[in-house]
Amino acid sequence: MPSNTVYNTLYQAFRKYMVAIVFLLALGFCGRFFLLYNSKIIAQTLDSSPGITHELLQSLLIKLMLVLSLSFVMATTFRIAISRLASYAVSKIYDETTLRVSRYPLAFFDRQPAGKITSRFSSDYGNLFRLFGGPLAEFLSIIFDVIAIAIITISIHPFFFAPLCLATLSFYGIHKYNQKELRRARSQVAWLRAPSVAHFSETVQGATNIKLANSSSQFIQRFNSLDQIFVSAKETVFKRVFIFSAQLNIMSFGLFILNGVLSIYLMNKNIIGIGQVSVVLSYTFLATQALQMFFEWFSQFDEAMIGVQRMDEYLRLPLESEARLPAQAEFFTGQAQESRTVPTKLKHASTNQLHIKNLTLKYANQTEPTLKEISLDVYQGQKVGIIGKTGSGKSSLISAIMKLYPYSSGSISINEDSDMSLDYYRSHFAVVSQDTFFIQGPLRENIDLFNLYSDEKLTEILNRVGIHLSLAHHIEERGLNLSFGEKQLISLARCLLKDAPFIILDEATANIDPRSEAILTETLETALKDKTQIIVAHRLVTIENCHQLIWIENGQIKKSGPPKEVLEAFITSG
Amino acid sequence: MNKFPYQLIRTVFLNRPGYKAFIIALAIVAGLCGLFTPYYQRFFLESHQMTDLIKAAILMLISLMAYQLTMYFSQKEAVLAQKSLATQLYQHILHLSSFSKMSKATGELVSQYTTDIPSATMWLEQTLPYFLTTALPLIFTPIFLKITYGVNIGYSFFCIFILVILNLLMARRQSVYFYHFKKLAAERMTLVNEWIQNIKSLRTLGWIVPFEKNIFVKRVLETDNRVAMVTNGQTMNSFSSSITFWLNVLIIFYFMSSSIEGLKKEDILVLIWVVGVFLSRPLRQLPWLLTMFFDALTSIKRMNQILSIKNQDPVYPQNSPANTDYVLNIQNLNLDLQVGNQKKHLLNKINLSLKPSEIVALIGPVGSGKSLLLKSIIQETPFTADHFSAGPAVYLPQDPFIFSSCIHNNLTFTYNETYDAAKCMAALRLAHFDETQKTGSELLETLIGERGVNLSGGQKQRLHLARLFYNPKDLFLLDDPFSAVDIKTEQAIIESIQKLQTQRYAFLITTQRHSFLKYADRIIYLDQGSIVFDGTYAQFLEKSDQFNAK
Repeated sequence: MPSNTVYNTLYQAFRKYMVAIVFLLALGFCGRFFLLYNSKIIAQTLDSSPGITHELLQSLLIKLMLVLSLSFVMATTFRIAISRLASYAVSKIYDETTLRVSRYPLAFFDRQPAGKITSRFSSDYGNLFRLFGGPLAEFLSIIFDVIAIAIITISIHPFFFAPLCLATLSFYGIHKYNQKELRRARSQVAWLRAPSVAHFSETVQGATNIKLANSSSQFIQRFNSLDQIFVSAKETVFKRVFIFSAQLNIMSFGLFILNGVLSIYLMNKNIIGIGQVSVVLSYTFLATQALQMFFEWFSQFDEAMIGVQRMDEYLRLPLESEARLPAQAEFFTGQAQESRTVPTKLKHASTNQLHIKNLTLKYANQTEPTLKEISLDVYQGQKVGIIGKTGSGKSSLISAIMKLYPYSSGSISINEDSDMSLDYYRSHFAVVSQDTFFIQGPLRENIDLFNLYSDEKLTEILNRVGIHLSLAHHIEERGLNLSFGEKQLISLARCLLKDAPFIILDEATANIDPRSEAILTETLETALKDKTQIIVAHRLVTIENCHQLIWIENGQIKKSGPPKEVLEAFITSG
Repeated sequence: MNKFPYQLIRTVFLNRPGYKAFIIALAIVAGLCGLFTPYYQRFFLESHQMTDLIKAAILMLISLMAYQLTMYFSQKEAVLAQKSLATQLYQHILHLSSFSKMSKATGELVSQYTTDIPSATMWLEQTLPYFLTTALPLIFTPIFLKITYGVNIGYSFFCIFILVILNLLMARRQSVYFYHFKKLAAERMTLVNEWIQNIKSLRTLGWIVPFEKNIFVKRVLETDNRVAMVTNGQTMNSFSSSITFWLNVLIIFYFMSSSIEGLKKEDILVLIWVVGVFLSRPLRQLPWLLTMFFDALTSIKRMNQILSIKNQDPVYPQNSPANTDYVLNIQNLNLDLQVGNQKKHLLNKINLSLKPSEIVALIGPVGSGKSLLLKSIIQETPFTADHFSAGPAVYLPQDPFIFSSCIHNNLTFTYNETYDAAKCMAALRLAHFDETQKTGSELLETLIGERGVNLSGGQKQRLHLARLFYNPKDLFLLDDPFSAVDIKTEQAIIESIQKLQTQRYAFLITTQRHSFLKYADRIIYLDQGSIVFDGTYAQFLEKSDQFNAK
């Protein structure tokens, strides 16, 4: 069952529109009521006269036209307005969720597969968006219909209240009886969808290898069995819906007879005429259909509520430490928030020093800390090299400096300022590393996502790092159409644009071709000469001219000092 | 390329014709019983007899049940069609070479499976039963009215015709919105995927805010389209859910303008039941039926587009005698790419041969065509050659392929549960795969991927390499195998390669690491698609100034 916060989230999304909603609901109900009232007008007119005359039909026609036009306008206005309004409200939930997920700790992303997180934005949001778009108006209209039918039927004769109550109760009973099974069957479908889709998407990427190894049949077989599981689950849903509907049909058959018998009694007593009986019987049928649709939609909204709940979960988690929501966020969900919009280009002090004191870092899934009691000061203009074996903690130290993972004790600060917001802190660093990031799209977007610089400036920077592609050059997903060297050089171009006080090179020269490496080294010694540089390397040549060298082993500083001394010790240690 | 999708339509509609006929029969029963309900109800209104009431009620029940069964069996058929289309699509995509589907992103192919297949089979799941339960009543009603009340058949059909046309126009518009909606959602999701998968890099770059902005821009476009779509949709809905009342007005108008002699109140009431009750569901369904029709058509077209992509195969004389001295022998291989009106030479007059036990390093600047040459050797590109013969080969791409299953499955490249542990471990060790945390069967049964542990880029590369070692073939094609390993691992892998060299395996290896070159028997330097150097390490060193300058 959805928690209270779900309703709170919905309330926050719809808050702006409350007055409009109340007005629209009233309008919508009147529209549907008068629409249905048409039948009653026909019945009353026919019952009031012994025979049929032209005059009778004419007056009937005029009455009907009037009521119908009015109710049509009201019902249509209601439907359109409520759907538009709900679309906007639900979109708000999307934006707010995005703003928060962007700022959750990395552990949040490590803990769960990416597919699970993105499904919040695809299927859950999609479901929500779809249901609150059109079906909400439909669902409300059905509710209005049921109420209007009840009112009109009872107004024909109060006796009809009894079968109506009976019907409502038994429909509710049937719904309850089927709801659990239906819900289970539906969630099975959602649950079993993922494996076949995951198989499809990952193996499509390996098609070349599968074909070369003659393993296609193995993978097709696997796909078929996963797809079969999903498809069977879908069949189960269809079966359950059929059983549910069949039960409802039998119920309405009973109700029809009950109302018929009641009508015979009332007709024989001359209390109501055949016109009214006809209305009652058609309404019995209409009400059955309406209730059937009502419960069908009800279970869909029930599911959509699961979607809201899943998005709501992602609205209320703690942000990464020291992070703040941007000022534009509108929902109050208890996280820290900026009081005003932060400018895109942040100004830095003229001299900057990085202080790390007694830093200990332990990842959530590990028993031993990865970094232990590290202390390090990096002063303006210095070049600091970090060496160590694979797995010694070099990359973790860089993650810690970027404050990507929370540390268990100690402190990291720039200029001893402990109040710095996370975004501002991070803006002090530009990183060139092995895992470079690329967006599918033009090269321009891949170096200047903020769209801050002119084409000339960007082309100049690209030329400086030896990249001679046009700004419109299309980059494929994950930069697949770029070589390691090109990726690194583009990363370097970003670095030059960012103009941050600290440059971090995380094994940046590991896999690149000699030409790219030469450009990289040259740029570091010229354009980036005055920057403070932190260099992690396993090719020892690149760090010979550092001011200070840190040797890390088992997460601790084993030795630090002038490069020559430390290197000698490192090499002799084997 | 875009020929009419007969094949697809056949899969959707004509499989299991007996079942399809049965569904149609059910729909006819539903329609007829539905129409005769008011007919008997008329008797009941006249006679006030219980038996007439029960007759009418039973007809109603049969009609409702037959309707439900029509839906149910259609859905079952849809599921079967869906499954068969999915298999067809998957097989086809696995079969396509990377060169042929180059322009299709993975996400697009996945959306074919997740979106287009279900919507293509909507024709069965919803459209067919809706069509039957909508169209049949619409056809039956005028005939029924003619027989029982002598209502002019032209008048009724004219009204229905106007109705259908109106709905058709609105549905067409709706399906255009729907098409945009799917496109926009897919574009937004491409961004969301990039966002989630690169959150660490985005934070490091400080690009969270502009990236969010990009997502929001797409989101707003999507919402705007959605709002236009619901506006149209709700107009359509409002119209269709009040249409029966408009029809009532038409009936009264009809009687007003024709003779009313002998017309009884019961007759009017029954007629009102027929339009007001019996037609209410079909008319409510009508716009959605048409929308789904257009939607399914788009999906069928999109699927057809993918399914009609043909592999572009290489062209070379097939029956030239294979020389057993060589594991690879290529003469005058060319690969061109048509860019607009211009022909771009990707690979130019390549002559290349490898003997067993030979290690050849393939080097050259970025974009010189090294990877493309390896892909051509496994016949993934549409090259032309005067002679081409290659022994069985294994291939390590730059982007390693690891699938979500156990490590041993990734080695054997099967989904079998049994495996040869010793052989697996030997392969892992040859590839120098990390076994510091776990070893033996504990390591081999470790799940990787979405529900298991995540491997780093380097680990994936070595696991892929281990797969090649597990089931080695005469020729190893390794595309940058040292790109994500440290010096020590590189050394260990080179030792493994040398060990296999003694067993007559040949290696063609692209690399950026010049430290590897001294282990190669031959070095080939590729520049702008042409081989500009082919010789030993010693010869290469003499000329190395010339190449390093590039």
